[in-house]
Amino acid sequence: MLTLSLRTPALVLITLLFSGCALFSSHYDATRHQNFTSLKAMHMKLLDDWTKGSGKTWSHQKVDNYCESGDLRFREALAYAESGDADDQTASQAVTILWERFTSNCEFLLSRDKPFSKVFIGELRPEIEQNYDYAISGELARVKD
Amino acid sequence: MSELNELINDTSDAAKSALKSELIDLIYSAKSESADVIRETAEKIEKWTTMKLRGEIDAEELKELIESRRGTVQQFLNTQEINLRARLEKVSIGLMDLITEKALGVIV
Repeated sequence: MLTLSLRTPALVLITLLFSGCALFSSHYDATRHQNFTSLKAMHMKLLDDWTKGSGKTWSHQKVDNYCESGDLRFREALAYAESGDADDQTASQAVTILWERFTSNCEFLLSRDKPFSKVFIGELRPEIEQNYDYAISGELARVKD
Repeated sequence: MSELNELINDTSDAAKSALKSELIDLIYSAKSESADVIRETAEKIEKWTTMKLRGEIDAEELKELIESRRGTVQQFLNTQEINLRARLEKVSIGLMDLITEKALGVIV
């Protein structure tokens, strides 16, 4: 009788657990959170340093080197995100979206071979910042262990 | 057995109610946030197009801004998905705790 009595709640629990496996997202990860804030600072520095009036003398080589170094950091962040992101890929997707923006901004700078204009960066900078802020708020919204 | 069944049925009603309430809340907040992002996107595209027409930015800059906005909206949607999954997990765990407590209360 006891075995029979346990069957119903056990069935409910198992059903919930199995349905949960498909629905749930990876949990909060402090390193992933730190990666987002660190990538944000690195990306913002690119925009700030290479805008007209920043005091820096334009150097194609320096921008290229910075972009190469940034590319490696995104590569590392993506590899880390993928390592704990088997269920839903939302963490790696967040990094990928940011990486695409960084690459695009780098290519834009290098193809024009001159710093960003102040008017343009006045529009672009808040957009990039908001993108990172969404990624960070997504990480913070995850279930904490 | 019948006592346990009653408790399970009660739990099921409470569970459904909690889940429904959480989902309705989520849908309303998601709709509101999505509406804000859509409105903001429309305002920005209009502003940037006007800036291009005035010669304040060129065609390449306009394209880069629009692509950046596309990325921001993609990130917003990804974050919405994370929010949804996290809330569903919280609700499901709450329900499992509830069921476990009730079941143990009868069995032990």
